Amino acid sequence: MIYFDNSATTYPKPLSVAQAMANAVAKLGGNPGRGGHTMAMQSAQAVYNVREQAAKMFGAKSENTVFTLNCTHALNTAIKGVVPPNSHVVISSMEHNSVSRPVYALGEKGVKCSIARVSEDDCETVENFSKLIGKDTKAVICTAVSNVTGKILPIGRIAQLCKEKGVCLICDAAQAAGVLPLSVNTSADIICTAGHKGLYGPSGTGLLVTNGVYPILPLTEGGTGTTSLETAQPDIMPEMLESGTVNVPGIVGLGKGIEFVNSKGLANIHAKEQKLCDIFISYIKNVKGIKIYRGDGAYAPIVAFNVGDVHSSDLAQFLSDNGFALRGGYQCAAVTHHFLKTLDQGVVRFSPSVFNSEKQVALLAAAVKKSANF
Amino acid sequence: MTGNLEKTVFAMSSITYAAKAQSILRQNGYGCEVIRTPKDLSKGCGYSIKVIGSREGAASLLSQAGILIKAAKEL
Repeated sequence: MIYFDNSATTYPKPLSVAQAMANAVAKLGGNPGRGGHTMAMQSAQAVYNVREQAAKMFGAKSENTVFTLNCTHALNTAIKGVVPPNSHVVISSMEHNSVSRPVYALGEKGVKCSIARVSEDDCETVENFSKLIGKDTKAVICTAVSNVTGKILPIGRIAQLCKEKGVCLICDAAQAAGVLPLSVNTSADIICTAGHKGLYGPSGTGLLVTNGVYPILPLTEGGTGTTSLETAQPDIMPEMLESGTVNVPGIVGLGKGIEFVNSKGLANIHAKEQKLCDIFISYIKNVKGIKIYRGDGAYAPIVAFNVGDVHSSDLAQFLSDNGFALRGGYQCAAVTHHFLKTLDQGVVRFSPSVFNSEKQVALLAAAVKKSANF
Repeated sequence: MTGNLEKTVFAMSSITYAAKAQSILRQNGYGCEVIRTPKDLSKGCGYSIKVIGSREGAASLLSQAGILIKAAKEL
């Protein structure tokens, strides 16, 4: 099978990721931050080393870099930890359910939500956010890249707007990390991302990285390895947000993934994947009934498309039957599909990684052409 | 930092701060290791760094890095 579902999770992973994880399982048996013996200390050092790597990638301090289970976990922690009851938030029209659902859930605590429409014109997008930020607005929660269409949002300009208005910006970087440069100094106050997508780490890893300006209350309380005799959760970052044993093999694997990304370079990764998208579009744009969901603005290496009136899930299944892994349906993004007007059909999503080749894209394009007749 | 063989234990807020402190001090030429906080410094679980070198200099470096020293003990 040829894999083009890297927006869901990247595959394959660099060999170094698997090797580091196997080594961690075999040799890093101690629980980091849970004892003073040599094995625990070795695990703690390994975890800290990756924390420093991740912090550096996002311009943060190591203590403000939190390991999470995935991006959804990071976003839930950030959103529910920052937004107080009876306040107001603004989200974009391109949000994943990982943003829209926790925001919806906060509605039970009196939190109101406005949706800023994302335009192909970045100025208009920023203006749409600006108009919705009011005196009760405590956070803007915004993806850097749509997980459905690949549309790149003007996150730096939205960050500037939020800074001027004194509002916390929480950025969903699930699709941007590893492809676009992001920093807690210029892109957002809090960046949430997956470890297993563009950072090429294993599943079960994610990151919440903050500049520390907006305190985040913990989503869970419990073992932190410190102040064991106290009943209250310690207020020291990052352990405050990392209750329970962390995923040592996963974190070590994530470190190797970040190393891999750094060795390739974000710009090179972006350029290679974008070229594959351009080639794919050039192959399929004249297929009868093809619809490609791209405008004139900036896009990350994702291509959303449909063929005629065929439901995207059926098309994705046809492609799977022909040896290609792409995601059809709604990509867990109801808000986006509502604004795209694709609630009936969904879309098929093509998302390459650095491991894909132009030849693989040509083979996929041939299958898409074949699908137009099925 | 040269020649000064003062030995000090600095109690840290967490394992992360202990690892960060160790990293900073080692980069500045200090002998340093992360240890469990001695019980006479703090009750409950916690981490410290054992430092060889100028106590004042090490404390200053940690302060500059925004690392809180919860307690200190000369060895």
